[in-house]
Amino acid sequence: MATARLDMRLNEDIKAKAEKASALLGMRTLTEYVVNLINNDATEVIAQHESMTVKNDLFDQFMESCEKIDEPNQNLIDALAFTKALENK
Amino acid sequence: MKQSIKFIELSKTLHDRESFDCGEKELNIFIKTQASKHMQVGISKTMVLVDNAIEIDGKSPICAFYTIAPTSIKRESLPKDLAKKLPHYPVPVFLIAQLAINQQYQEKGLGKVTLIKALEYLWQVNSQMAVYAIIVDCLNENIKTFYEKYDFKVLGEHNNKIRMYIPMKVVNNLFGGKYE
Repeated sequence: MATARLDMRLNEDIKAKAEKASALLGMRTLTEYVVNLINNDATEVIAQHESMTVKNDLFDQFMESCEKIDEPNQNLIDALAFTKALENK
Repeated sequence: MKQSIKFIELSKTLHDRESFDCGEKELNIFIKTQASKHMQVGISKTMVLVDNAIEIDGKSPICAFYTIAPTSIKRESLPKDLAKKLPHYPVPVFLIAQLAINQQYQEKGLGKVTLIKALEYLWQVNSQMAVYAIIVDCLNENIKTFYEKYDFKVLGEHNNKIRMYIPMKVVNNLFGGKYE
């Protein structure tokens, strides 16, 4: 059972158009239409944010280096030493 | 910086977000208007280094901040035999979504210190939630050059920004005790 509330103000024209569209889709109420839209769009926005698609060759290179490369370079080692020196001051 | 370098969770009430200026509009807007909201709804977490020596109306200025989030990587297409070889798919990674230094505190090597602290923090989280790599977004060429120096490699483009990565194995070795 839906219990949360969302109040919104919108343009009359948009409301009329939305009522027409929701009726065409066989929805019983405008609320049902809006909730459906929000739910579908939010799912997509979140999915896009939470995952990134990488070109096949770059993905394979990525997986290979995640397996093979394990030693930090000198700059990274120096940056760590620099940070530690500041912290121990 | 007399106090130890301790990054803490961003707080609207204790940290002065308004005075933050790193020279990049997008990052300034992020810390001022979005970082706190993103933390509230569970998108990302923002950690800040504050200057405790200064306090105006109970708020201290932010010297530097970084923002992290969990995310994942997918292959454009996934052949079946490769799918079998990947136990975790989409491949889990951490994202350093933002990293910025207040201009008033630049030129003290704070950029590399902030990077090290962000990597160290993610290294700790990794023991609970293992990932393959750490990803960063580069706003411009200078930032790309900065990360290249520390051996980050290009992973492609995402929302018109160059995305780079460093394998988690490298980070594990860096903080594993060998180099301290």
